[in-house]
Amino acid sequence: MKSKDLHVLIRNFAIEMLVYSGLVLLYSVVALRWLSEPLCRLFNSNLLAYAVLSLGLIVAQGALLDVVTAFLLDQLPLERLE
Amino acid sequence: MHFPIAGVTINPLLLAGIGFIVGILGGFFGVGGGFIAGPLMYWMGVPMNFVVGTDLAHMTGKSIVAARRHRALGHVDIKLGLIMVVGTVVGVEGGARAIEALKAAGAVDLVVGVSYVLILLTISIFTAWESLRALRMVRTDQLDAREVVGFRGVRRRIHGIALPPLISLPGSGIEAISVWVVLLVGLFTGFLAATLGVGGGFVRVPLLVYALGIPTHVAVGTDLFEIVISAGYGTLTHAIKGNVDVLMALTMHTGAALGAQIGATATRFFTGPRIRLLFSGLPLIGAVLVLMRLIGSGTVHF
Repeated sequence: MKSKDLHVLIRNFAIEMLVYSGLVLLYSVVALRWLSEPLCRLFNSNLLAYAVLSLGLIVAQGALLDVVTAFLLDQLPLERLE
Repeated sequence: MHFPIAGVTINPLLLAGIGFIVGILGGFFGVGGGFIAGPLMYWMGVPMNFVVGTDLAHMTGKSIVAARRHRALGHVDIKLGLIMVVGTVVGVEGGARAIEALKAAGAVDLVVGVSYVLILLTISIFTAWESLRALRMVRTDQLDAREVVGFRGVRRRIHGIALPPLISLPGSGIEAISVWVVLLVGLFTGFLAATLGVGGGFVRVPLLVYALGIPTHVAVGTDLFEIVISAGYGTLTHAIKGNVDVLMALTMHTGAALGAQIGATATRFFTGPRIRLLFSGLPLIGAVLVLMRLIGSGTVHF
């Protein structure tokens, strides 16, 4: 690996690490504490709705994290590896 | 922290850490990472039916990110992925029903646990042996390290199956192959995905490379595309059956999303056989973890 590529990779990694660390903390506080009870109720009362919501939540989170990272990298602006 | 749906108490940062590790593995090796995440969750005390369902859920979110990265790098054969997915969905549904039957019989832990150990050991030994063989071929024959595969004979025989309809896969450099071979790969890996709670990549990637002759980098990217579909369908069907704790899945996914990006970028700095040699040690770790838990919980006696 060229030293320039390595430098870009490490810098991107450090920034993305900061973003995701923040999001993990946010989920620990918000998602787990606030969503816990309603999701548990839904699990016990309507499994089909719970299944659809579960898939929606995980897909939305996947897309959101990707968009947030791409946005951050574009805004900073960080050099991307080609 | 207590997760009421699965009924277990686990540190959420530990779950995010597991997600981070399997995210790197998934992005790098083109596998969902379930064969490591599943054993780790089971080892931490999560019931096996929740391990299977929750693992699939977290993989769905993670694979979306990783597959998008690989597609941008030109590593996804969409035609291959779409054909394979037909077999995968049928396999996933069959696997989810098999888990329900095992749950009713009270034998989920024993059957799934022992299957895990046997399959992971086989994959580990086979992949290590083949990649070392392929690396020796690179050194002696000066072949292109990105594409060399130590099982050319197997690939020739598979390509010799002339059962119609035959299709071409230009994205993978294949002129003609029976569609049934591709469907069978999907069916088999889909069944494994739903019974073991994995994306199926740790079997699908070796099958695509060795049996179908897909270049390693394309196999990695196409497998991730396949995991999005199979894990997504697996999440839905397992959640309906009450086997998914989405709170655990969301927590794991936050770490996994970061790891997947790092892993996908790193594939460009390693050759095909080297990726496979690195990959070979991972299933072994999963096998040891499951075995420890099976013995520790008294499910298996020696």
